[in-house]
Amino acid sequence: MSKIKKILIVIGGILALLVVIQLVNAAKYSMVVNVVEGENIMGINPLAERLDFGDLSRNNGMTRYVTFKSAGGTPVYIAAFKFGEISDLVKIDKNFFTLNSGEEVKIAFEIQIPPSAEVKQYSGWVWIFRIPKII
Amino acid sequence: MKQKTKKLLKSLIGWILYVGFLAGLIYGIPRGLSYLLKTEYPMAAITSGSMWPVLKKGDLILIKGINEKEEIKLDDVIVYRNEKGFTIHRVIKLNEETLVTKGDANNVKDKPIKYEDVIGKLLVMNNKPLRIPLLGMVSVYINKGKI
Repeated sequence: MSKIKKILIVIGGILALLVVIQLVNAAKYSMVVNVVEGENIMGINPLAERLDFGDLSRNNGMTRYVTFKSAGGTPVYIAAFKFGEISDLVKIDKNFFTLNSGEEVKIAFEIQIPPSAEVKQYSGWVWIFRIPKII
Repeated sequence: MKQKTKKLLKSLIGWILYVGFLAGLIYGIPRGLSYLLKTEYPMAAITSGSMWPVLKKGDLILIKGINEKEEIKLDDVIVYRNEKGFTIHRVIKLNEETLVTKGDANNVKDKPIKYEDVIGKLLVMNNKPLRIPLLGMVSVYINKGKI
């Protein structure tokens, strides 16, 4: 095997490892909302371990917050990705930004139930990556 | 030396053919679809969530051209021209001179539009819209902040 091939394999291996570390370290929150029949119905579920928007009727909305603090010495790049059926209904107010060392930020997850939503449970995930900005 | 040049030439011809094929596809697909679907605008990207959940932001849809107003039926999803550009909404009322549309996820109906402003209707198969998820994302990012 040539030297260049060996170097490329090592670089590829390091990159793959970094990706795996980021995937494991990402903050993962499950998101759920129960769309219910009626008007102005809001049933709050105050769970901290997941973004549970509770029971909501159509044309209603709710916001939940996640606070991030950069405690380390290096700034981190924050990127959030939504998955699942609920992801079309949830808006993230701040995404793809740099969190400086010692800084704290509150990210709002706002859900809005449109009139075309079905009466059922919508669920999904949000994965928040915190990538150290070394350069 | 001669063999090396021959190999290089062969690879160059391969690349030229590949790029030519790609360019042909990019140029040919919209024109082919335009001919088949009988419309100037055979494809559109969904840039808002107003038709959720039938159409989602980032979807690429196919549009079928219409020749007569009789081809438009209640509940059809149509594409029409307006002052903002193009809108893709559902027909909720058919009048003699105009028609009224509304986005499924909107609470208010749109202003009545003339039949001549209608470009076409959403292509459906087995009562399901023909859509390619995420393929219209490029258009969504280009139009970000415009709509």
